[in-house]
Amino acid sequence: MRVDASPTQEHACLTRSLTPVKTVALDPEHDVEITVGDQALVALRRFRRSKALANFDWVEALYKTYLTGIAGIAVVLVLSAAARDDRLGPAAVADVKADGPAWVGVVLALAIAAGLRSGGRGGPLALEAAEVRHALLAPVDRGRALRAPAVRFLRFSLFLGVVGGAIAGQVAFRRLPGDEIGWVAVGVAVGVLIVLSFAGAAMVASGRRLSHLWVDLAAIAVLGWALSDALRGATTSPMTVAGGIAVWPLDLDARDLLGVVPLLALPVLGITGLAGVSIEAAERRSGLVGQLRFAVTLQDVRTAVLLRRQLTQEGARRRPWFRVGGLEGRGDARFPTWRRDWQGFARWPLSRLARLGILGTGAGLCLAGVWAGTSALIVPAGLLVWLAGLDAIEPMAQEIDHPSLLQSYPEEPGVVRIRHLAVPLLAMMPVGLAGCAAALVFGEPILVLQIGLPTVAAAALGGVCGAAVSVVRGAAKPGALEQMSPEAAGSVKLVAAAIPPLLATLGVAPVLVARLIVDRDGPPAQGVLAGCAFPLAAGLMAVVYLRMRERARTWWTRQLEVSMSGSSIRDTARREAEAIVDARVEARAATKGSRRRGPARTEAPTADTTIHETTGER
Amino acid sequence: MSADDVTGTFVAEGLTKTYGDLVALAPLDLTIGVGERVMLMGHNGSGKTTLLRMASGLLDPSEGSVTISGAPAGSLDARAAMSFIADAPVFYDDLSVLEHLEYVARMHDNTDWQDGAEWLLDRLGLGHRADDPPTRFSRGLKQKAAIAIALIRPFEILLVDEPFVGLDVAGRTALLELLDDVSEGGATIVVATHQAEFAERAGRCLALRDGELVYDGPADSTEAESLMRQ
Repeated sequence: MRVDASPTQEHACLTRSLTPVKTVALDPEHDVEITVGDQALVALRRFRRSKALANFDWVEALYKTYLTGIAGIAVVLVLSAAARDDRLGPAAVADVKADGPAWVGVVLALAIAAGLRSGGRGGPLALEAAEVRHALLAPVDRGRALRAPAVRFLRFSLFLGVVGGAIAGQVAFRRLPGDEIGWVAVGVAVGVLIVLSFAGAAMVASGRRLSHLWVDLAAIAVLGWALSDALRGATTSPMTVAGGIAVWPLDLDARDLLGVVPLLALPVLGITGLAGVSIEAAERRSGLVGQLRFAVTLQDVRTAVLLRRQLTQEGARRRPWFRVGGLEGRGDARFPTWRRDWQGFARWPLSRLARLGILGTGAGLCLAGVWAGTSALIVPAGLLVWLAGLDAIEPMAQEIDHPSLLQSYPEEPGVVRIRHLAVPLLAMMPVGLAGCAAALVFGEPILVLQIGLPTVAAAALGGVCGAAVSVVRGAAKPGALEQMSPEAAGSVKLVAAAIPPLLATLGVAPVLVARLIVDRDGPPAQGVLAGCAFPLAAGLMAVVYLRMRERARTWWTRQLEVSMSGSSIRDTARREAEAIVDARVEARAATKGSRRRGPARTEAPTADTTIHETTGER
Repeated sequence: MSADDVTGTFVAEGLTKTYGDLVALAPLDLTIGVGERVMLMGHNGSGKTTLLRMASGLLDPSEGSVTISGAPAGSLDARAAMSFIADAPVFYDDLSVLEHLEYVARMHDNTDWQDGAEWLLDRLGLGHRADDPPTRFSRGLKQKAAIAIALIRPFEILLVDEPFVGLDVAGRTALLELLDDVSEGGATIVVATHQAEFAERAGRCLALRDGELVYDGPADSTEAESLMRQ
């Protein structure tokens, strides 16, 4: 028996009709028509779009476009300038032609593996919570309901792929023979393939509800296959075949398109299987992704890290990898932060360890590229080290997450923060060693030892310091920059956001400095040592910031208040002083006039004296 | 089990939900018949919300199954037959209460929704806020909007999770009357609550403790009253 609420309270049974019913305008102004089920969904989306367009602030959008455009042009110019290195010789070009497809295949495999893992946790779509509750719980075809968000996601992914690919094509053109348009076109094609592989694999895994175990196994298999091709110099996987497109300006082979077919099949398969998406996962993601976007908007890196962990269901291990001794020892009492940090690391999940290994490997490969002559690769290397640092700095971040605990310790917060740097620095060493191992693929072992090992320590310092500054800085405070003009405030925010990754990038600078010195016929060891000045400077700046942050902020706030409103404070003080003088003069006159008790014991201060006392000036 | 074997509107067989080692709901076998009014009790974390969310299709069971009117929970037919008022209502940011009602009604093929919407909003005291977005409402008003949205569409079984939280006296009375109306219309009602006023109206009481069903019997028994007081 079916019931519905009706004005007459007579609950007549409604029979569901599959035939379209008469259309009714949802909003007469927008003339949107609705029939049943799926059509209602389509009509609602159209209605919301038209409503959003009606409320759209074109001036604001144009301003944002203007800012984004300027920032984008600046990035491209900087990268292009940084990539303006010498062209590769014939031998190196031959190496790129021979090995390039396999390594691009590894990147494609990484995208597929990441997509599978994302899909295993309900990704990649992030729906509105209301969409999950009202639309996906309604008797409509879920596949059709999810198609529009999936297409939107693919569209955005394609945009990222095109932009990233174009930049990569530009960088390749600077060093390799061939025309610019060819390299940019090839870069765009590969960028698009990468994002489509990610999105497609994720949709396949979520639509088919593959278990964590299966997606992990599939991810390992795909990655292993591509890596095996790269290391053996073979061409067996479709990723390696498709990777051949990346060197088309050097060696055009139409057979490479055969590798593209299975990669393009992934998003098609994904979209057709969307109906199977788990609503539980969709609902969980809807809440978390909303918060994640908000955190990113506020540049709150720590919150973004925590939410991403929730999204990937990455929790601490119930059983630690190793036990750190009891708290009753003498040494324990002297180094509580040291012990606490190791206890935290002992509960790291395997996935986090694996991620750090991958980040280290990526950074190592980028630095191998820097050593080989592509200076621009120092930027992604620095970013990867910073990301690794954000995981390594977890114990300190936990302190920041619990400010009441931090304030309750009988130590200054700055001191506690600095004590939390030691263990993360050590924990970053294996990450750097993973990078060295990856660099061995391209470099001579002696050189890797000479350049790589000192860089491991430097990168650990840069990564940890950059991450620590990010975490301690926290979210941008609304209103903190309100006294500045919008342009100035925007620039300050941009610089503040760029400083932590910059510190991490300084950590990998020794490789670039060493290469520049070797280019001038200097010894590599001397170059690395000279380059270590950058991470040391970064470390010093970070330590000062972590130690003195509260004092510096207090001082700055006071200076700002005095400079911005000093005149008004002085005016207020003058008025108060004059009022006091008037009151005392009146009181003295009244005393003299009425009771004739003799002269007052103290003289009223002059207006000038009172002003200085009130404002604290001496 | 085929649809023909089903004797109840709500049938759970070995229904289980676990999160790692944590058992949120131990294997549960349960049949709720057509037109029953069921009160679901239990302390925090006992598994009430988990049970209702699995029945609504929002959670995937770890093991076992639950059917709504003979269809697996979450399937198209089950979604058509079941209406769910969750403990935390969610709304579109850019739609008013009335637009929500229209949308949900039409998604469920209810084209004569205007009179029903007006009547529901008046009963719940929301008539004057019909054109406001519910995302800006207080907790109680949001709850009222969620109730209206759940009742604007046809259904066979109504699942309600802690509906009285945040409601004022008038809202509670209106909701109880609406639940009476719904029940008189022949729908099955399952309400997770500790509200004594609903216990008076419920014919059956289910009590969960640490994910296990510890009581299934009349709502007016001494045992049920004792459980309610705990």
